[in-house]
Amino acid sequence: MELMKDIWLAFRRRPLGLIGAFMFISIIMVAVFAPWLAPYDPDANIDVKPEELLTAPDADHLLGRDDAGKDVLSQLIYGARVSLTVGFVASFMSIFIGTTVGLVAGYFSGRIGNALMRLVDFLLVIPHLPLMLVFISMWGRGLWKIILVIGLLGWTPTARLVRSQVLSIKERQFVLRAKAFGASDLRTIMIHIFPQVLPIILAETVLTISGSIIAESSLSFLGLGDPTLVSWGMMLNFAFERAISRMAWWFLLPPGFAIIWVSLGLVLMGSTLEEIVNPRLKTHHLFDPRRMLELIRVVPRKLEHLEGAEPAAWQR
Amino acid sequence: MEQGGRISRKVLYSFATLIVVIAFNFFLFRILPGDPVRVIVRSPRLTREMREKLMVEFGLDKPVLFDMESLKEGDLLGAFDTQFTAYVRELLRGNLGVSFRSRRDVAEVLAERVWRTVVLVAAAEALALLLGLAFGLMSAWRRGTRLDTAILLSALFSWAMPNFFLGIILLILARGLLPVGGMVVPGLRPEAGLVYWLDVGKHLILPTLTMTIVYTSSYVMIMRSSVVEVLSEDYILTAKAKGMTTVQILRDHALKNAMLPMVTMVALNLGYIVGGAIQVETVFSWPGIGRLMYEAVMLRDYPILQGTFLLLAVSVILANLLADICYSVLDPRVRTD
Amino acid sequence: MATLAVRNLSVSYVTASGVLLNAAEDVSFQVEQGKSLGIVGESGCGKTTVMMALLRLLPEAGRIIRGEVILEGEELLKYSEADMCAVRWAQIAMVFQGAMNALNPVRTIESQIAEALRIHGVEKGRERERAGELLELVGISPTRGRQYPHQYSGGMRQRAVIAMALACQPRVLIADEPTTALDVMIQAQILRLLVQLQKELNLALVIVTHDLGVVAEICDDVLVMYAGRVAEIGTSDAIYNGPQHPYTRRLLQAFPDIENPHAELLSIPGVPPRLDDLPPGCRFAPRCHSCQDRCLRETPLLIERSPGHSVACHLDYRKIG
Repeated sequence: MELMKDIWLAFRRRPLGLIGAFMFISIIMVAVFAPWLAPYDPDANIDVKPEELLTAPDADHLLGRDDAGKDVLSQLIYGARVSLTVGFVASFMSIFIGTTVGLVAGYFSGRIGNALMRLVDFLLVIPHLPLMLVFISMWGRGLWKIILVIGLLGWTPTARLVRSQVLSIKERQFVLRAKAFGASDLRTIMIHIFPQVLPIILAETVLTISGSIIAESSLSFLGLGDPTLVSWGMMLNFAFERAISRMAWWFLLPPGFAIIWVSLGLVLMGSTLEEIVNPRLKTHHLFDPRRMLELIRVVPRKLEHLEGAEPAAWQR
Repeated sequence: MEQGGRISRKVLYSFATLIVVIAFNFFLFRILPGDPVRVIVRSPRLTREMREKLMVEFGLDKPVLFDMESLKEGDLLGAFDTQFTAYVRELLRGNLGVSFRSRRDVAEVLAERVWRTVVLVAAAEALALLLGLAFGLMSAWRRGTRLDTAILLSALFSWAMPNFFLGIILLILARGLLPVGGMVVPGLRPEAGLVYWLDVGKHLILPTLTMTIVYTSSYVMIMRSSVVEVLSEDYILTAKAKGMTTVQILRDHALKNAMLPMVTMVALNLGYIVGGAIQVETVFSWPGIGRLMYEAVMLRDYPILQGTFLLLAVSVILANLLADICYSVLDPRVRTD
Repeated sequence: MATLAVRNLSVSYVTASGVLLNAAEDVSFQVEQGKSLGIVGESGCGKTTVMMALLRLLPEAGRIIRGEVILEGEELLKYSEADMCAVRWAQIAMVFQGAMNALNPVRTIESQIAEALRIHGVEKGRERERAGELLELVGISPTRGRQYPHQYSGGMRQRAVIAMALACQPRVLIADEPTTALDVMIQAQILRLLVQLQKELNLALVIVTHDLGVVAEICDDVLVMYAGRVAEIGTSDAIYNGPQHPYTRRLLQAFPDIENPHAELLSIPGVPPRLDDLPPGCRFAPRCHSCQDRCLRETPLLIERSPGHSVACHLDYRKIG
């Protein structure tokens, strides 16, 4: 697809985006190949002696052991699976809902559109984390409950974005032409408008995933995660409750940095995608002359005799 | 005068949202599984008298929303004699129910703890706005330089970090230097005067620092992109042609225009700020509204949960309204709409 | 002595891949107090670039390669940025293309004019009043000074921007496309205003435009640019009555002539060359129907054919007639 080619070319020119992509893909690899990468199985029951609890890193256990004697590194690796799964599924839910709402609200921009936007405004006013806390405290804990709660609250930014895009797209020639030819509403939306919005949604998805992963970690940290599945947030919950007094940094820090690694990677990727999809190349007028040096180095050799010399032959 | 009309429309709209939120809050705690109302009634922690008092006050023996029986009998007023009406009535009286855990009035507990969060959030917001403005401006002005990249990456890094984790890191770093939890050293009372307040201040440093860093990161990024956009506008070129220096241009033209999107963003962020407060207060055991909510969730103290949620939603609505008004003050184009 | 003299000015832009694009080359002209020069050419011929270079307002990618800009004897290209700040507006003022957007939307008109005064220390203490006087000068009621740009019509904004430009009583006023994007009635108003102001304030006026009609009406001298180089320069009379350069001749033929209403309007076939693909010889050669071998190989230099009238063409139309 043309779009894919454009994205690839643009990514090649933006180092930060490539770094982000690398960061993200590396964690996916870790999650996928967890059973091969993890030195120990975190679910296995082990017999431990008291002095083997909360031990600092050593040759056998690169990140030490937690308060139950289990290997921290293995938990970290397997934790990627949970955190990423929740992150992906919840954000796909958000994107799906958001896109649908956005398409409908933008296309049927009259009463239906306005009503939907009022709903969006309302949801934006409700503070998210407290609402999630309320839901989970009443529904109980569990993997799907967390996914639902994050997914059902995270669709509003996407809806707004998609709606404003649709509003401008639907006035364009090719859409009007399609409708003049008698295309049904559904057909117009799916075949003509949706592909135009797709690039933006792509960029938005990446950023949403990052938000979902952080949301899951916050909920788990506050003790509302699924107790049977150890995500990075849950690790932090355990670590904070049980290891903080002992300052067991090997248990406290790695899960957090793992979260940062993923979300940073996603944000870098997402911003690059956004730049590509929304190219508004503007240069500003406050040109700093001190930067001349930096820019001159970019000029090819044959033009370096700029000061007062003759113009090169090719310029005649 | 048109401005007055516009503002009153906004106030009206906020009021309408408020009503919806109150209704939402009411239904939230009724329709979810594990009907909290029944739980309230059966809670062994409440004394018999309290239970009866609650039943009467909140009309827990009556239908939830609408009394069909009374309607059939033609008793219109009686049709509204329901739990919902009771709820609103008590709300207007300032009665938010009784906490399961402490058996105190919810309203009382909230009043006691809310200012602690306000202090934390207000201090952090103020600092963050200043820092965000300063760094965002610097970053945009020197766009593409190493300074810009450094600022941007730091902002991204702190933004990508869950709030609570930042708190944990600071906690570890400050071990031994600063108090790591609570509001005051146990045993110290307000009567001790300055000593007390200084101690509170010491305990406030880490949580405030955490929240400041969290807020600053998003403000820096917003300010930066806003300034970059403003700097490419035609009137900036005119300003330069007038013979203004870069500093003058930034100060007199770029700043005001760039701040407009910031105002909007601050408003939109408010919903998330609350969430951040919950996390940070939990990490540092700061006894504010956030921690209250966390404790209520753990202990299934539904009246507190419901009251806190309402309070938070209401504050966000009010803050949004305030931001809206600020925006129309700052941007004259909006005024004559 | 000419107020403003530009000699052999060459300006280029650096592209993202590091290539230097020739936007303007070897441009020379001069303007005197009380006279006006019209710079004519198609979009992209480099006229705006030259003007921006005069005030050193080129964007990040712009480079002044070579040349001299002499303002009343002073060599401006040797000035530091700080010195240029003093020159800008006070000596040379500019009214930009699309003046509608040149004003800050969140500040009053008055404050923006007053700002120009304040920066250069003119009329200290009575900036507000002076701003009002300037508005009156361009035909806007001073009380409207307290309004915002979006409350003005397009024509009014153009006039306000002109008022602002004259705040510090500059020697030179550059107007880049002052009438584009305005309807015809307003265009006439603005032009009349410019002429009037020029006479009153004895300005050296430079008008950059693609509209020959505008130039014919108010300019004493005309400079025709094509693809970054000067094609022809001379007095208005000389250019309109005896154009020498093939491009100028075609340009004039493309405009309706009131004395000859039934003459056919001819457009010039082809398009101007891309800056990264300039022809080796005369830049107009590919579109010129008098083109000869020499034109394709050798760039014609600007030669004075009659007093005050110079042409950059290998052919001498005087001989052809």
